[in-house]
Amino acid sequence: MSSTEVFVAITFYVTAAAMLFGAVGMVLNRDMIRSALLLILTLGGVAVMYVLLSADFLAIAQLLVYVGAIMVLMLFAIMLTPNQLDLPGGSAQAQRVSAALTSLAVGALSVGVMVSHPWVLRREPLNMETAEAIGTLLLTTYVLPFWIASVLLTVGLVGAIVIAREE
Amino acid sequence: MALAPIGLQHFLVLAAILFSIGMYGALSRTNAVGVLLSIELMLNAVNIMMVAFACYIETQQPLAGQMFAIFIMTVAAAEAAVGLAIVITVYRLRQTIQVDEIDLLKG
Amino acid sequence: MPNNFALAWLIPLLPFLAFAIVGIFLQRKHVLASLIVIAATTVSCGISWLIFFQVLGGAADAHHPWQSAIPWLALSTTTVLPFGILIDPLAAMMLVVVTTVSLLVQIYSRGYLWEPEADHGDGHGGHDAVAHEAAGGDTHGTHGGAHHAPVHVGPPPPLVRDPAYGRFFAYLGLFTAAMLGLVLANNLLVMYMFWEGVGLGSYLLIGFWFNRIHQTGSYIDPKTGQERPITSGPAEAAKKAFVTTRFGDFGFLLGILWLWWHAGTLEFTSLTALAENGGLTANVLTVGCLLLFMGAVGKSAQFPLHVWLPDAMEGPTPVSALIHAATMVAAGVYLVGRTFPLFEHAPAAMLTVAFIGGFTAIFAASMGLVSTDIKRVMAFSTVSQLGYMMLAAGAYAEGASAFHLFTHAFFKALLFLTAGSVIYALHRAGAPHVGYVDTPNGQAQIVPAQDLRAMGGLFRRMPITAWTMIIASLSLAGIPPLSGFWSKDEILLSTLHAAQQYGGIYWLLLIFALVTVFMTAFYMFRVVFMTFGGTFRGSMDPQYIRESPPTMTIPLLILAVPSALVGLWGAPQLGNGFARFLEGADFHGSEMDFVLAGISTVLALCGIGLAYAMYGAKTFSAEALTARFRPIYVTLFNRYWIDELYCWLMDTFIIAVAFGMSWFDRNVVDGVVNGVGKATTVAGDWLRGLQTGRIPSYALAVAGGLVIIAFWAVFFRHGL
Repeated sequence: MSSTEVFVAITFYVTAAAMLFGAVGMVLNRDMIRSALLLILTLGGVAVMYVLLSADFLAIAQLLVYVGAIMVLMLFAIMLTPNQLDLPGGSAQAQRVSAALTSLAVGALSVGVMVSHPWVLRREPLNMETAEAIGTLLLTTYVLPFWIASVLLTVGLVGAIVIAREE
Repeated sequence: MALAPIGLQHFLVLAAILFSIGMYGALSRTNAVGVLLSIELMLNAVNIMMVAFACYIETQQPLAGQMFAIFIMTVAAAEAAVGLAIVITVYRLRQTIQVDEIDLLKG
Repeated sequence: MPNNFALAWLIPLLPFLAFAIVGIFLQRKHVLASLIVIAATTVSCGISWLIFFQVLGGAADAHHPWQSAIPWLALSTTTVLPFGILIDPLAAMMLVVVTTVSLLVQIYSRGYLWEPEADHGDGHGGHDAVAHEAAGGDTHGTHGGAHHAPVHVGPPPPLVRDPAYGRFFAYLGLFTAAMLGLVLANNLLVMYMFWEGVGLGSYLLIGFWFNRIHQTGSYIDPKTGQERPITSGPAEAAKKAFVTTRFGDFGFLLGILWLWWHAGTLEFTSLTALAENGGLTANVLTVGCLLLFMGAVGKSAQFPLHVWLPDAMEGPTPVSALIHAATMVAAGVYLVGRTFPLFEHAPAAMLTVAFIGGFTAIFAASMGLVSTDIKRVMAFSTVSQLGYMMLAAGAYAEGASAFHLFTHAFFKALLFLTAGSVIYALHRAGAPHVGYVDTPNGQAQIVPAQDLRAMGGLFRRMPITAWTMIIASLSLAGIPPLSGFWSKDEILLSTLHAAQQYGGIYWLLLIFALVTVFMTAFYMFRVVFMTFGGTFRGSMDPQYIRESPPTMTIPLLILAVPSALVGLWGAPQLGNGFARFLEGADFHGSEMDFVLAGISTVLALCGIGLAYAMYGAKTFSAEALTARFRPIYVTLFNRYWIDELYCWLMDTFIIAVAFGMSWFDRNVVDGVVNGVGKATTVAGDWLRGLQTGRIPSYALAVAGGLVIIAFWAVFFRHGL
């Protein structure tokens, strides 16, 4: 393996470990602030993965949108709903066992399929600057989804305001 | 495999694991915001998968995976906004957002 | 050959119209009602005689019967059940018998249905045994006589018509119509229809005085030996008759269905052809014939369905004469005669017929020996003689069976009418409704107008009745040259031939038949001597007992002629006319067996002699004999306890079935219904558990479904 590959591998594994740590922590932690922060860690890891996958624009977008906007929104919501610790209730035990089993099943199945499927790969992994390409595509091939997405965002914006405003 | 160069399958396996962790969280957390967080995790896992496909697999449309990921991100944002609006409203009305206490539809 | 057979359609139709008109409009107009019905019957009688003479002259015979039918029930485009009439010698003979006897009985009824006015108002009436509590019974009279406090002093009260006079004639019309339809039917289904009609007529007529409740018989308690009255009434008797014959009718219907299934036809001519050319196997025929025979057993009161006939004496005496002597009970014999070719090819069925007939003959005669009611003795006699007819049929001698049916109709009807005349006379003379006699075991309650122990010394007072009863009794006993002798002798002869040819049971049946000859003569003349001989043992003044009015005695005299002489038509010495008539080309004459004839005559004379010794000259004491053989006497008097057995069986069976049904209803039916309700509730409760209202559980359900689909997609689909 060349040094690039070694570097990539190390980056990958370290980031993956951090992501997993963040994910598991987020799921199991009872304190909401801590959960949110651990998720931020995971989302940051996702951005690093995007970089490894030659999705440079997407990595920045991830940080800006997810971490910078969505997580902030979540934190706002957490702070506006105080004292709501994630306490296990009466039937939570059975619920959690079932949830664990279900997610385990899904995970195992997916991993199994992905590992065993004969993927037809490109000759070379993608390695380009994507910002310009994405911009062009958004306004040519994907203009309809782009437009619908904008409408969706508008609707969501208005809807959120309507739902949450004080009477 | 660990020593092989990082390839498609590494990313896919990682995404699958993150997805199932997120699913566990979505099904077992009792705080409504916690559920939303888990859902965001699931969406991100899928995003990773999409981008990995865009990187390693020949598609008819170039960068289809990344476009997919962009739109998923967009929708996730909208969904998070609306969802949190609902959470805030429920809190205002019921003083609780524990999902197992919001059971007015109990038969 | 020119004939008027088409007129035969009118024969049952006219009495039916008379029934309808009288029944709907004229029940209150007594005289007019009776005249209309009598007129209809007269016309039918005339047509019947006309047809009879035409058949006699050869217009139809056994192999070329005349039929006329209209299509009736269309079961499909190809299967149509006809409604038709069939005229052959057997039918012609029966037509004459039924219409003539019917007519004479109807004329007789005009005089019979009068009653003392005192009995009139409260729904009780008539002279066939009415009970009033009024008649006290505290006096004790001389030994052997009936005694009670006399109700009337001086001349007895005058008589008026029975208030339901018109209804009676209407019913007679209905019955006559049904019986004639039965005789003329050309297929089993039509015959069954009229068979039921006859049963209905019988029910209506037996239960004519349906609101009476009185003593209907006696029962000897085996422990104390005391004779106690059985209290019932015509309504019960009518029900018993109907239900008992229903058992038989059920078998009849099954037989019809069986034959229809196997033969595809119910017409007598077609069935005969099929039986003779082998279209129906012996097994099929045996089952079918046995089932049909069940109907005959019911209607003709053979063992074990004989129990209704003695009780049917609750009806007015003309009814007993018409229905239970001459016509309806003969329907069973007629059925066997009609389907005789089927029976001929089913030897097992034949044997059954013979055995039941022979057994019934001696069985019923034994009960007649000790019966004390004048009509009941004759009822047992009827059952016994019907047994003879069945025995003959079972001995492959249909001709002998029909011949005895023919002669028996006349002398048995005459016997009943004479009994009715005696009862009428006693009632007119003021016989009370309840009386008592002394028996060795204490006092017994009796019905004075009908009990033999309260009669006696009536010969001088009622000569016509006495002489006609004697003639009829001699005929029944089988004294040559009266008609009963010829027919009974043919039966004995055919039984002998069957025994010689087939052996076995037929010898036993021959012995039964001969013993029955003795018994018949004995019990019949016991009645004659007890009624007409000696001195009057009743409680009222015998000076008021007179002969019955001409409207009753003239039919007696008319009937006495065929009772005495009609047998000569079938006498072998005189050419065997009856058999020739009936069988046509098949006729094979039979010589008279003088030994057998001699034996039967001697037996009959012995029976008469013994009766005279016991009841005429009182040489032997009847009481001593009964005391000597007490257990046998009690068994015979209680009619072998068969009624009690049937009651017990019915009770047990009904209660068992009721318990079973009740259990079933409570546990299974209610269980299912309640169970459905409960299951619904339980399922609802369980399903309710799914509606938690909790988001996590709903989400879990979604995720679970996802897992299932994913698994299915990965493992069970190719190339997803």
